[in-house]
Amino acid sequence: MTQYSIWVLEYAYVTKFHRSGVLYGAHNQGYLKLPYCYTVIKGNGHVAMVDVGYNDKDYGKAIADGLGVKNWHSPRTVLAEIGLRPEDVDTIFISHAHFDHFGNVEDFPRATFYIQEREIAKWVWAMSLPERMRFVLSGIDPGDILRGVELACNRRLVCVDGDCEDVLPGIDLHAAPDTHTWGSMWIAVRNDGRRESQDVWVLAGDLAYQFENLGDSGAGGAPDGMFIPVGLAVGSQMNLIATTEQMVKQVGNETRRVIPIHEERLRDRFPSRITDKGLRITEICLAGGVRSLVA
Amino acid sequence: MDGGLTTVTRERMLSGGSDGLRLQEPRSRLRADVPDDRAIAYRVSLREVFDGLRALIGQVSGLLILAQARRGRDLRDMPTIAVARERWREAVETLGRLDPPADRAADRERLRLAADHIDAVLARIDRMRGGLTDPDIMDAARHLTAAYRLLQSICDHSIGLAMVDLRDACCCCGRTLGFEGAGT
Ligand SMILES: [Zn+2]
Repeated sequence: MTQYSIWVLEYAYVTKFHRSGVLYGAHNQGYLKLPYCYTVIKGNGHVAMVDVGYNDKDYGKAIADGLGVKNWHSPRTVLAEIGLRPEDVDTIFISHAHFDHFGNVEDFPRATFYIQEREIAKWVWAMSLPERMRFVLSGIDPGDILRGVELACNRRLVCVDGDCEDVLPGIDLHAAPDTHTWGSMWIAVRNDGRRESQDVWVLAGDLAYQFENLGDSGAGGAPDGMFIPVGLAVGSQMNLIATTEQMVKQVGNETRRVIPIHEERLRDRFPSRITDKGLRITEICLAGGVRSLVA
Repeated sequence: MDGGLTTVTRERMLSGGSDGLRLQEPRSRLRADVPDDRAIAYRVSLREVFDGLRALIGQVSGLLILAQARRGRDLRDMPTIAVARERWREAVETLGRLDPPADRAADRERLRLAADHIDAVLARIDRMRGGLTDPDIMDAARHLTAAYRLLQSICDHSIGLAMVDLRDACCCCGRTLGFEGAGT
């Protein structure tokens, strides 16, 4: 029986993001809408999330004004659309420490957070580099790391060293060192609970922004094109492509099962609806006996 | 944006100190929106201090997380602590030379307080023997939070003082040209 339901929840978006930021080398190819999302995984008595978005109250206005991020809504508003509250969330996997993924831990008072230790260690190192090397620091808010200190003291931050199986039953963490960030990770949900699962979903974090990163021009089956790295990375293109290969292998080459959360076209592939706040909820799969929340 | 500042202006400021400032004549008043050299030089130094302290907050916070995760390890062995101390010294030195215009007089005091908070944490790390305890770490986090709030209180995105550095995210290339976009 299917163990977990998975929803991708949009909490803000950029209407006009340059395509070369999404696809390495796609210069002068115009702009696209880039949704900002997090993912909820519910089942087996748990409510888990991948990433938490950012907190609008600290610097949201600057981000909105400066970068064109629009229509931000709080986790309380966004989660309510699937009948949850932030305090219901018990486990959160942080795919990487960029502000739009790790920037709102304080809104989840009961959750335990998992992050790769390498992600913290290498940011610490990066923050000690000379100012002229600050390119590698973009997208990082020291305040997010600082909030992590309190989490750590309250035993609510688990620093994972590499891959980790069954963090929750059937949910594995996979390290992707030196890719989009130094300690990125992707999350595999083996939804039949079996080791050799026939029902795996991969939540890719920012290791893939869109279908094209996965060699998938939209058909959603086996990769039909070459993998293209994301446009923003501190690691190497090779590592990004090797990680993509791992993710695609994990789902038996069925690329529709690798979920890139900045992909607007998830709506063409999965049931979804737009809330009255103008944000999309995409239903990736439903646990046994659970009714659709987008129908 | 001060991204267009020449290195010459920056170096003149850094090497010349207040003398360098005095040599500079106010610009033509024909364009009121163009800041004079003194204001520009001030912004350069202000941002240098701000960015230095901001990075220190992140760096030391991360070290505290690692100290907690790798319980019992002596942080003083980590080379980044020496770098942190050096960066703190540089920031405080530049801070001592800051010569704020009247409308930004509060900046210097807030930055000084923020630097003091960070100093307290670095001193604690220096003093410790055999690792930090949870109360040590929480106390350090309180100092760093206070420092963060002080920096936040002088944020000014129009001159690049921001808690999240997005200037050089890939998004910002588009932004410079007047397009929208955000690094993720
Ligand atoms: Zn990212």
